[in-house]
Amino acid sequence: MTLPLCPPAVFICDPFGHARQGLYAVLGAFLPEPIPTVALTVLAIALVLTTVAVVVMSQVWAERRIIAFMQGRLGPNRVGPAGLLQSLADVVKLLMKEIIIPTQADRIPFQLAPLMVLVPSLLIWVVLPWGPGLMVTDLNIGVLFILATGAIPTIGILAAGWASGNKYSLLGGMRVAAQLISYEIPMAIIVLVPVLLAGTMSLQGIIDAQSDIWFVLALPVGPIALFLFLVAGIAEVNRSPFDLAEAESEIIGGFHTEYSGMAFALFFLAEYANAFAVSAIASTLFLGGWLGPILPPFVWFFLKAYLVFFVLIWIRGTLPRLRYDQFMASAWKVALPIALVTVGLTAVQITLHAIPGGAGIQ
Amino acid sequence: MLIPEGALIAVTFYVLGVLAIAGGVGLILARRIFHSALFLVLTLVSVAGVFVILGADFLAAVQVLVYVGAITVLLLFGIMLTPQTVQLPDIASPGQAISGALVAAALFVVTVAVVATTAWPRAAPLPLADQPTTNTIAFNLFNTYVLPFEIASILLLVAMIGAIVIAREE
Repeated sequence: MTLPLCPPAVFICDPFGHARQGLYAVLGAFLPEPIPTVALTVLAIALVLTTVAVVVMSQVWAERRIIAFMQGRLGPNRVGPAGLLQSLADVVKLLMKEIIIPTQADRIPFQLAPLMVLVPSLLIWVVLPWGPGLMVTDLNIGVLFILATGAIPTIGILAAGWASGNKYSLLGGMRVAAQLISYEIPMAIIVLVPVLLAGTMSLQGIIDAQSDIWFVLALPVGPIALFLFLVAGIAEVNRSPFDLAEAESEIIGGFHTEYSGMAFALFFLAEYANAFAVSAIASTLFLGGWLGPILPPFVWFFLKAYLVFFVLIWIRGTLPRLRYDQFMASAWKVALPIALVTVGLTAVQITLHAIPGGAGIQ
Repeated sequence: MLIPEGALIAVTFYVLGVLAIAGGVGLILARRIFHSALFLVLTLVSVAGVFVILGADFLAAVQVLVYVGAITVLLLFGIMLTPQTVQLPDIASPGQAISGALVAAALFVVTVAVVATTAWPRAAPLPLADQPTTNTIAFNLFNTYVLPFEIASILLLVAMIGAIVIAREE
């Protein structure tokens, strides 16, 4: 059954596409190539970065409010209607605070570390598809690009932990190193399930392959793969219950103990940008991305991503933090075998053509 | 086009090349071993950028994923477990310095000789990452080169078991 789609010719269904075509026509009339193309790419990147900032502020607000409600509190509700401007006020506060560099710190790595964490987080947003053809660039190795880019922040976190010259920071940094390496492996294996089902690593191609059936419904591997992806994703972005890297009760703030002001804010921004990226990637790989009836594709994209993010908040509000050895055991003794078996099962099913909607290898 | 594509690629190549070499030089000259590791990251990422220019996008992503994301992280992990006061000695002993210089010079001569005598194929400039290289790599890896591939896998497995045996020894 095909549901009525929002036709791309209608302005509201694809406002960014229309704006891009309009701007390209205007710029192209006056300027020679490649200036219009380059200008539009720069504009697209600026739009993505602005969106990251807005999305992160909305996430912080949503998380504080929702967790407050789950715990029978009110949460921030003083600044602006329903506390909506609280995040903006926090940003202004952080911008005006002094960045303190400890005397024991290794200055240059200390100052570079937040950037090494933030820049890769923003790079991931470049390949997230908001709608048909609506992404800064559609790499044919999209999934691999996300995995590779997502591996770089580890270095930044390690550098932050080491350069702070503080034992708690060092412990936090080392925890992150072990944690990210451990969960990167099940993560890299489990994303092979949608890649196998779609027969491509391009994110746009994976969405196209889901036009008949979302991969989460490709039984029996779909739901298992989505669950494992979310578990590994939460571990990768250091969120509760896997926030051992910044466990306040054990190691103060972990790797960002010594950071203040905007330097701290960059870590914070990266963390939430990553959390949303994981939600968006989960919805792209398993929930059909921007596919959906009636509403414009970009609305579906954000709707699904926020839905997944709500689940992350829910988990954070519900589950206690794992102990360190429990965490490592869960990665190597539970997540990795399940991931391997799931991928093997997917391959067998595709070979036998026994999977609903599995386009796969012809 | 206002700017020819070849010029853009050349500029990008030289910028990445300078960064890669700067990383290598920094790696050797840095006093703190932690700084050396960070310079190594710069070199590895720059080389990944060169791979992208050459149209090997799959290789570039794998380079970052494996070398930056895994190997350098393990390296840093190892550095963190050693005392922070460890600094490389200022001057190596004369014997070390002479033998090191000899080995480096020999390696340099061999490398230059190979580069100079190889007949480099002059392929037409590739369209930037238009062709998916993944399928080609996979096909060759699991058909033509399946034996070397499997031998390499077994070698890695042996090394891993060896590492576990050494680590568990009490």
